[in-house]
Amino acid sequence: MSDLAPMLRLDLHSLVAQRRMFLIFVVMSAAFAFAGGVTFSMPLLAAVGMMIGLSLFGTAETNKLTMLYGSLPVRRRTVMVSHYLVAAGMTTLAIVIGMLFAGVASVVRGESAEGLLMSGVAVVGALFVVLSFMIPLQVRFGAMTGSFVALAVTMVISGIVGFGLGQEALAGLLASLNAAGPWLVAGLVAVGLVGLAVSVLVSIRIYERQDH
Amino acid sequence: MGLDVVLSNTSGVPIYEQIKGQLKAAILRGDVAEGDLLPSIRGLARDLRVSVITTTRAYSDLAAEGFVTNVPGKGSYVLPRNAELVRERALGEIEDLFADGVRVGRLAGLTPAELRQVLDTLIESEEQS
Amino acid sequence: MNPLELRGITKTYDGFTLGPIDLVVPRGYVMGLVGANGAGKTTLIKTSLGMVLPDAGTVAVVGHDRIGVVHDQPAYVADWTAVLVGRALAPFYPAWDQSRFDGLLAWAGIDPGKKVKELSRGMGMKLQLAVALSHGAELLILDEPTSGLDPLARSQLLDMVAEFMTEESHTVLFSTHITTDLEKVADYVTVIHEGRLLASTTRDELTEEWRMVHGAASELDAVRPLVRGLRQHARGWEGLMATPDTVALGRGTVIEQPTLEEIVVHLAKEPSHV
Repeated sequence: MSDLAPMLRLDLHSLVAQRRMFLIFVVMSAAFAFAGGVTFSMPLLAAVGMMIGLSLFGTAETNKLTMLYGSLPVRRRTVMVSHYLVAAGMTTLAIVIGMLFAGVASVVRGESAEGLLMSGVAVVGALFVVLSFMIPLQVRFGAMTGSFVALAVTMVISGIVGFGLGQEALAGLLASLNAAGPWLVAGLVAVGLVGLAVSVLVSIRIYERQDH
Repeated sequence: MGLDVVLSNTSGVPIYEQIKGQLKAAILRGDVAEGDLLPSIRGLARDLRVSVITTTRAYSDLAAEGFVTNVPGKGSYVLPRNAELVRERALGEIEDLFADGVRVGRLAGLTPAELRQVLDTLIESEEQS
Repeated sequence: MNPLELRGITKTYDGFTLGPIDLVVPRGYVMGLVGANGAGKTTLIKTSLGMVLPDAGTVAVVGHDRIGVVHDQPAYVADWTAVLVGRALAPFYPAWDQSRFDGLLAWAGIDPGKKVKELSRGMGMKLQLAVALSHGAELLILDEPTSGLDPLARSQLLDMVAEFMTEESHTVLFSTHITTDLEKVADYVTVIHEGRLLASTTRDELTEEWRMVHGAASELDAVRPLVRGLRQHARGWEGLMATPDTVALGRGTVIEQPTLEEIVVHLAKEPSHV
C-alpha cells in the first residue's frame, strides 16, 4: 500500500484538533493515579482510551474530511486501514501513559506496582475488543451517534466494573488476572487484535460502498 | 508589440467579432508587420479574460479571410497584405449591403436619384466623423 | 484523451433522480456546469471523483494525482495552519511543488501560520486553489467556488482560471449557479435542471440556439406553446424561444441574443421538456 504512508501522516496531522483532549486526559490520569491508585484510575483510563481511539473518526466527520479523502489519490481501504492503525496506536499510547503515571503514583504512595504491566496490557486488549465493535458502528452511522453510544457503553461498563464490583473486588480481579498469568492477558490481547483485523475488513466493506 | 485589443461588454457586437475587427484593423494600419507573430490564442484569452474558443474563432476567421496563417505549434503569423484581395472582399461586402438598401428603396417607391442622395449624405457624414 | 467522461450516469435518492447523464469534458477547455441549487451538479462532480457511487453508468477520469479540487468550503481540519495543510497533503502528490505552494499562499495574502478556521471565505477558497495548483494537476474541478465571495476574490479566482488555461493540456470543470462567472470564460456549457441534462454544447452555440423575446400581448397566443419560462405582465410578455421559432413573430417584438443567465433561468422555470 504505497498510499498508506501519506495517509498515516495525514491522520496523525488530523489529531492536532484533539491535542487539548489528550492533554486533559494526561492531567486527569495523573491526578486520579496519585489520588486513588491504579484501581481508581483504571476505569477512567479505559473510558478515555476508548474516546481517544475513536477521536480520529470524530474529527474526520466534524471537518468533513471525506471530501478531502475523496479528492486525494488514496484508496478508501487505505483510509480505513490507516484510521484503524492510528486509533489502535493512540489507544495503546493513552494506556501506556496512564500506566506510567500509575507506576510512579504507586511508588509515591508506597503501593505495590506488581501486576501493573499485566493490567495495562489487559486493558489494551479489552479496549481493542471494544473498538472492534465500536468503529464499524461509527463508520456506518456516523461519529456523533457512534461515539455517543461508545461513550455511554464505556461509562456504563466501567461504572459497573469500577463501582458495582467495588474497589476490593476490582483489585481482586486484577490480582487474579495477574495470577492467571500472562497467558490470559496474552489471550485477551490476541482476541483484541483478531477482533480489530476482522473489524477493519467489515469497516472497509461498509466504507467502500458508501456515498460520501 | 503595441498591439492593443479593447473589448466592450455592452456594444452588442459578439466578443469574437470585436477581437477579429480590432486585429484586422491593426494589421491594415500596419501596427503589426508582415511575418510578425500575433499573441498566442491562449495567451490572448488569458489577457482578455475570454474563453479560448472565442479567440480561436477570431483567429480562424482572420485566417479564412487571408490576413493571417495559423501554424500549428508555432502560432499565427501576419500574412503579406494582399491589397487586391482586401479590395475584392470589401467590394463583395458592399454589394451585398447596397443590394439590401436598393431593395428596401424600391419597395418604398424611392427613385434612383433619391437613393443616390442618401448614399452621398452618408459618405459625407462618414468623412466628417 | 479527455480528462473526464461520464456515460449513462444515473443516481436515485429519495424523491430525486439524477440522469441518465452523458457528459464529456473536452481537454484544453473550460466546461461550465450550470443549474439551480439541487439540480444535481454536486452529485455529478462527486460521481466524477468517485465519492458517490452511481446506480448505473461509467466514469472515465484521470488519476486523482492529476486533479485539483476546490469546494465552496475548505475540507481541511479546522485547526490546521495553512502551512500544515501543505505539509499534510504534499506526500500524496509525487509532483508537489512546495515553492509554488508558498508562492500561491503569498499571492492569496494568506499568513502561513493562520488556521483554516480563521480564514475568510475568500481566503479559504484561495487556500484550496493554492493546493489544487501546486501538484501539477491537469484537471481543475471547481464546485461552487464563488458562492458567498466578494467581487475581488471572485475576480482573483477567474484570473487564476485564465492563467491555468494558457496550457493546452489543462482543463477546467466549473460548476456554479452564478452564471455570470461563466459568461466570458466558459468554452462549453452544460445545463442541468432537476437531475436532467438540458444542453451541453459550446457557449456560443447555446446563445445562438435561443432567443430572449419581449413581445406584445397580442402576439402571445400564436406562439405560447413555443415560449419557455413565459412571464406575462400588464404590458406584454417575455420568454425564451428557440431561434428558428422566432420567425413567426411580428415586427413589434424585441428579439435578442440571451445571456447564459437568461437561458438557465428560463429553461428552469418549467418542468424539463424532453
